[in-house]
Amino acid sequence: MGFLELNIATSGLFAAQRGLQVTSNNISNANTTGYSRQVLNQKASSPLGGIGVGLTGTGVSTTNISRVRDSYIDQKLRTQNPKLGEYTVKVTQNSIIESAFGEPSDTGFTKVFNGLFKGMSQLSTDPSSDVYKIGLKEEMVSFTKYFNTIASTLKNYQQDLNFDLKNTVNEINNLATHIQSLNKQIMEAEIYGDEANSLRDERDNCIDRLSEIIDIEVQETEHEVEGNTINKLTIKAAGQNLVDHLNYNTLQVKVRQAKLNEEDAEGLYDIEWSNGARFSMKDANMSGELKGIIDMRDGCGTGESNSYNGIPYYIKSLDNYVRQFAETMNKQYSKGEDSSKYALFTYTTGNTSGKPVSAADLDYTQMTASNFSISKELFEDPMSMRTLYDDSDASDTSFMLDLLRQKDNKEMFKEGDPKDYMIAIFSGLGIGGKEAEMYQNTQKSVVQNLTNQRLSVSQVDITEEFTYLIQYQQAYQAAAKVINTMDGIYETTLFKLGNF
Amino acid sequence: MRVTNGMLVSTTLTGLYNNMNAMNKTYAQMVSGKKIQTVSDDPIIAGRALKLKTSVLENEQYKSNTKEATSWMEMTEGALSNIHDILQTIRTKCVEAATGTLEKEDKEVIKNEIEELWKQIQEEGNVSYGGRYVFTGYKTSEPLVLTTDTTLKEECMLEADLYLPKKVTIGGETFEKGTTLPAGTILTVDTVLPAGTLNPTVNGKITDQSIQYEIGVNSTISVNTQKMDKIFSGISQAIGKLSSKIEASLNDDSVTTEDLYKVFNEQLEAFDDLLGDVSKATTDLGAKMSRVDYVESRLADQKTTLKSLLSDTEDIDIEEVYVKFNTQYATYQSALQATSKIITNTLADYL
Repeated sequence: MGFLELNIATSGLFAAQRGLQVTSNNISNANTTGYSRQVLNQKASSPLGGIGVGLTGTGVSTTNISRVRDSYIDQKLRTQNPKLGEYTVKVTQNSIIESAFGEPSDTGFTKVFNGLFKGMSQLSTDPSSDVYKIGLKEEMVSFTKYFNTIASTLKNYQQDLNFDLKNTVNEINNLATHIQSLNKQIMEAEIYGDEANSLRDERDNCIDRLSEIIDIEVQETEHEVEGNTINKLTIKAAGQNLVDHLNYNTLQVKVRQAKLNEEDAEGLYDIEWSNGARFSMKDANMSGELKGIIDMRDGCGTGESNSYNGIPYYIKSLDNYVRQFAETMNKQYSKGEDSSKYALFTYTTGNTSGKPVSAADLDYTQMTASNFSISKELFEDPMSMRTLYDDSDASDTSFMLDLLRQKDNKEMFKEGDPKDYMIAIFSGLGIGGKEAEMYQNTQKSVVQNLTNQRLSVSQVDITEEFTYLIQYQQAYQAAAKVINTMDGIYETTLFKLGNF
Repeated sequence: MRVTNGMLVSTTLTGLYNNMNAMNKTYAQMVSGKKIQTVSDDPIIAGRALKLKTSVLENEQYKSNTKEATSWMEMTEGALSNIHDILQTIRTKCVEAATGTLEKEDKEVIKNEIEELWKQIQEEGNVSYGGRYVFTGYKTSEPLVLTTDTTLKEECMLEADLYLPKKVTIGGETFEKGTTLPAGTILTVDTVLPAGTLNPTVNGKITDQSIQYEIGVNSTISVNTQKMDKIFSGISQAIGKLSSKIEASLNDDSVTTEDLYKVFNEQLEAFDDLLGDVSKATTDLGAKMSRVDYVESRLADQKTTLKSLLSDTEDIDIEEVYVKFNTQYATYQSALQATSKIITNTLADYL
């Protein structure tokens, strides 16, 4: 019964000390990403009765240290994160594609297109001039090279994206593994009712990152096991359990057997679950960075596979362009003659440094923007260029003028003349980029708003911690003062009184 | 709402990034002088600018084509004017000869003069521009009048009458000087045609061969003067008749001065007709040249319009952008200043 006051004061001293520890930990972690501020929960100890004056307090007891976190905000943030991730990828990739086209500039399509027809116009003033024939041939080479360069650049980007896809899949796997091992640690730490604050922070960090990559469903449920409550966390992605408490699933990439789009680069990956389950890459509800990468890599603009305007769409548009353009021009060029003898444009075979095929071997289905080229006949002898309907009429300009008129041939494409078609591609690209940017900005402000809400709840504030620091310091000092006072009292009663 | 230092920092940073982003865009506009740097900045402007640029370049090509056309026509004009002058001189000679005394020496002088003038006309008829004969329709590699004795490499059927200034043997048959071979005659291979004969591959075979230059969208102009083969056929026959008659009178006394006067008077009419034809060709050419001039000045106007449209479309208004930049810069400055105040202090500074 004796010395109760000392015990009470000691409990206060300890509680204040514990508080100082928590505060100091908070201050130390003020800049730690994903750290939730922790608070010391304390309550008055059970009072003592039976001393005849009612219940007497017995000091303070610290119950636990908990983190301040609003799981509702977490959940909301994780449903918004994937869209942001998806459009961030799309904005970046669209602007990369835009730079491949190099518009607007004085060196891009405008230059090569006008160069081509300028060469023709020049030749039309003197259809027998060798100098003008060589000039036109050079303009034609620049024109074809322009398409070759863009197509091969786009294919490289597609391969880069393929590599990104593999890395992203690896990151998902790493995160899943890490979350699974954290699940285990948290379960072990919490089995006796303590809250594993920093482990949970770390796990939340991983889940946040995961939600940027792919849209996920996170669920934490309580289970009674042998009288203890344990929490089980499951994460679902793309309809499958990615993490199920202490188990996890991984994804893997596999080189596609058949190309999704004929324009695709070689060796593109498909994703599948390691346990053999099907992973639907076409799922329209999917989002996240992974979706952004898939859309940009596989989007061909139309059809079931992927209707986003991704790299295959632009390659396909260019392929269509060169095919249609070459066919119309060649038809005009060989007018009145055997079309197997005359062609302005054909394509190279094998690699792009290969020789172009001749008019006779021309098969327009083989022609792509990557292999688009001047014909073998012109490649070998530009002087053989046909410029006249009748060779004896050295200055009959009508042949060249007919060819030149294709420039404004509104029938060539359903989008209009050859210039309109390309402008439509550029505009489409610009609009795609602008749209992605708009979505990104909207999504950014949503996510930022939620992030701020979360910070508002969970982030350490230095000034606040200093306030607590002083509060705990004062409590500590006060408890110490109580002990000091009691010490004085006991000194007086025990030694001074009994020793007089 | 609870606001933490961290939130202040992140809000501050977001704000500063936004400021810098806006300034960056404005800066890029000021440096490039263009409203947009990428298509996605404004796809509509980008598309319009692309079309206008194409039009400007087209305009330049049309202009260069009109220059070509003008040069060609100036060349033609010079030749036509010389032909007219020479024909006029010949006509004067004819008038003189038809009224004056004609001694033997006089006849020889007249004959030589006329033949010399005919040679000059031939030179004018064979005038070329950039290595191309201007009066031979599409067949610009062929001269209008043969300048050397030419052996035919392939059979050639005449499309128009051909006057022979000298004796010619065709497939064993001999045709005397002054013969006019009718249209439809076939000249066999290896026939030697003397210099001064009209080129049979051109004569009568260049009807409606007008060389078109593109000088606007779906707009062309014919640069060459046509029907010169007909005019030259007329000249060669008229001159041939004169010179052969004079020659005959020199060798044969039975040809009287009255006969000569008669021929001169007859050919005087022919020359009048020919002069009329040349004048008409000159007038036509003049009309075409003034059309080209008009097109050229219209192209210049168009270029100005297009350039100003292009500039309106893609160029910045410097004052506007500069003011915008200054506003943004002021905002940025004040943001920095506010930031320096708000994030430096915590309670620790006052403990």
